[in-house]
Amino acid sequence: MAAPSAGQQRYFNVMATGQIESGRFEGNSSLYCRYVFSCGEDWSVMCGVEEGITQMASSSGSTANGSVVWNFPIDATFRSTCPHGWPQLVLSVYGEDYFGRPDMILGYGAVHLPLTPGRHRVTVRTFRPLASSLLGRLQSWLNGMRPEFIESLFPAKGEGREATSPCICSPRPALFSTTSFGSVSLVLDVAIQGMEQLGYAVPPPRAEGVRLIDPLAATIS
Amino acid sequence: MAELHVVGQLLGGDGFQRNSLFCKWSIDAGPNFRLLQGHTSGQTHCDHPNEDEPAVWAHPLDLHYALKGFDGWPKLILEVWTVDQFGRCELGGYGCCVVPTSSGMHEVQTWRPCGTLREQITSFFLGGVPTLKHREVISSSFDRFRLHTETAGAVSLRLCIVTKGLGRYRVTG
Repeated sequence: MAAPSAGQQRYFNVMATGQIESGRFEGNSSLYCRYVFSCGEDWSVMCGVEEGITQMASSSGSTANGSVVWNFPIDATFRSTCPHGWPQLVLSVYGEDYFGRPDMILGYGAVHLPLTPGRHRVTVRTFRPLASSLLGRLQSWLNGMRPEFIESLFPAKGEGREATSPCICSPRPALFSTTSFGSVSLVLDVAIQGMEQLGYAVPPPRAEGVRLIDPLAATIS
Repeated sequence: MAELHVVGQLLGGDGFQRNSLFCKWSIDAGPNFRLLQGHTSGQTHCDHPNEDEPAVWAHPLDLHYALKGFDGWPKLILEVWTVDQFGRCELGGYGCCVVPTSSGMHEVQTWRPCGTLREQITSFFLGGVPTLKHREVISSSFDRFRLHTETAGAVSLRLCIVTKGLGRYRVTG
């Protein structure tokens, strides 16, 4: 990539590195987590992996708090012209249910990448959808098929959370119900390049971290 | 023209009468603020957490304003509703928060109207709580003095603000 000259650059870059550190879902021993980055129309992924699945991890007796360690690295760089649609990390955690049936959804979560450069420790509490009717809930409990979001990026969207769409089990639209359980811990390091040059006031770094500087300014100094 | 971005999440609610909650939110801004992108109102899903745990909404907010002046800085208006085991919705609390100018975690304490003694007796035996007829009272600071309210729970949010071009007008903050 050629070093952009000052005054010409129309975009800024956001680099996010870090890890999906661990999950805490009491009573569930072996879990895996899937992550996807969701960002707005103006955004593009410059490099890095925007989607991934962790290993199947189980907690051992040695960890006192019952959390499951994934230690799964994340590394992605985004480019945009406008902060609207700031990238979000969407997580979905799967594991076994009470009967030992595998691949059951335990929780969805979403979090915006921090807008302040530096290191951030984020805890994401997760939720999962419930069937809209009592009959549907009984059915999903019996045949071991929990409701899931068809669209995997749904947790990153704010629209359509008011009510469920009518179906055979519940012909009238009902409140869109979820149940929340468990949490995922993340460590995210964010570096932002070129935003100040576009006139944006970037919040100052919270902790010591990398602050990328304009490559051209670096060569001059 | 300067620009303002509000990016964040309604994280959840805690401390209400029941713990199955949902929240209707809207953001009101003065005439100096023109919305360019994003939604200014919405409703979260209804979360049914385990006992003694806060409700999780994780509802994303992402707004983009163009602003001509500082008057009428956006206000976030919250209306929390509780749901009982029969699916009946009841007011949990009202809250209002001027969009902070700093990033990070914020908490909004909420309140709800008490009503008259007669209304309190009625709601004790029959359920249902008084609600406000005029929503403007939630965010205005003029007509509050006649209102009797009681404490409700708290809503936590994580908001971050990014401004563009305010430095050109010699504004810091």
